[in-house]
Amino acid sequence: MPRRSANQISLKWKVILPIVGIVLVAFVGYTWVSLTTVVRPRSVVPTQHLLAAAISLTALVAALILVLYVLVNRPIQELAAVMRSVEEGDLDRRVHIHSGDELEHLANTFNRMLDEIQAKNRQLVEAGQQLLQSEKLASIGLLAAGVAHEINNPVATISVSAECLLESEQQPDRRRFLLAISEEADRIGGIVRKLLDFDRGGHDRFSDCNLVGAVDRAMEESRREAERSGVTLASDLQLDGHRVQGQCDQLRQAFASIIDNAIRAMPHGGRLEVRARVHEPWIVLTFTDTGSGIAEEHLDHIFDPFFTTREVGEGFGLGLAVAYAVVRRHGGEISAESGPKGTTFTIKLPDMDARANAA
Amino acid sequence: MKLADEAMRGPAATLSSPAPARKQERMAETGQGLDVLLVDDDRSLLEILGTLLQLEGHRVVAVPSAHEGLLKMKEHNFDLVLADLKMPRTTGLDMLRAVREEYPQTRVVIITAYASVDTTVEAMRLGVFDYLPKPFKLAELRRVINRVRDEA
Repeated sequence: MPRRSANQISLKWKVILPIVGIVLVAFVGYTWVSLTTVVRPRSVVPTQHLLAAAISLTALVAALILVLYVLVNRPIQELAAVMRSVEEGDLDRRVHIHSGDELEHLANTFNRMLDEIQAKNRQLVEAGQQLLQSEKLASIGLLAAGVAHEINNPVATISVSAECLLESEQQPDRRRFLLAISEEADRIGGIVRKLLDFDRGGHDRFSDCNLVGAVDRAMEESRREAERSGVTLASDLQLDGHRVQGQCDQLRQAFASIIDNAIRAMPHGGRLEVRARVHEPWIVLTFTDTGSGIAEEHLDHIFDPFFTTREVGEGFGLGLAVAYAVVRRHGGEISAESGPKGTTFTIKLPDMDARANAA
Repeated sequence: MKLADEAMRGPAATLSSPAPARKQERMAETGQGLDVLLVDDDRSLLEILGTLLQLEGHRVVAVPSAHEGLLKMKEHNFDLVLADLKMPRTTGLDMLRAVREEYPQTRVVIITAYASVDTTVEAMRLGVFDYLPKPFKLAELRRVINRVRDEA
């Protein structure tokens, strides 16, 4: 129970004092009237005086009742109103009582309870979303395995046939057609391989991973693309040798997807900064771009497989979904915040050194 | 099936293929061609790969199931078995196991449209010669076959 300060009056006294006040006033009034009537002859006491006494007495009683109402009933009403709205499912309202008594204490406890329910609620919703997300990813993995088998067989036939013909074909036009068949077959093969990464990644072994190196490599891969769009890549990686346990190559791929995404959000130039810091027990990486931002209605879906806002043929919406899958597999978290001035992706990965020290 | 029917006529039966390529003649002359057993339940790929290997100068028997493949093994010696991994009933891994036990001198290359890590590890444990993921480039196929020839 929180300690009450000296000027706070307990609820008990708030109820008792007005009642005592009413009784006292009534008693004093009665005595005064009786005395004046007894001592002096009745005619001496003017009727106006009696009337005035009665009116002021009534006013005083009314004032005291009002005080009682304001001090006790109003806060209770407020509390009841908020409780009703909570009952109807609105967890955002809070009780505002500053009466300095048990009611305020009650209200504060109630508010804290609401805060906690709200936090738990939020956790529940997040957990639900994550479950949904991992179910989506799992179904993609299954789909990928099935699709891969069905697609790769005909693609292999097409690819081998085209290559065979190409070897004996001299005529340039025909060669061009055959080359197109061969290359497009390769492209289909590439798409299926990417799909399979969902399933495959899960089986790779975990080992010590130097995150700084993984980030550097991911940035290096995108450097040319960045230069073409006039995007400056900057990094500020301070991990003081802290490591994560993981699939380094998968992590690099996840970083590369985010970097690629950021560069595409800045077709007319901009800046992408990657920061890495240790916030025990996490290693936190942020990718902040100065791009056009992600529309609010898209933000909830960017980690969904096959969600893309790009033109057909410019990727098929697996990059960030893979990034999500990879980070989750490492026991980490990934999130995105976006505004008109750009987007920040945050990745949190378990800091092995912090965990080792704690253990 | 055409390929299997023809293959059944003789141990070294060949596919009906267009006029032999020069390369084939050259290889046949130098005796560089391999005896290859091709096993894949995808008939288009079976036919195309069979034709291709023949054009390259190998003697090919092509069958659509591991069961038929093992029957062929009894009739004829093969240098190389090219088997698909995922087939109904007897899989490529079963075939690999059987071939390694009974015909240890025969190399087995698994071709697969979808290789999980588990099956890859299992195949390596069973002594697979190589693993070829579909779709593959001609160059990859040739590299594997050349390695078989070099080691044979």
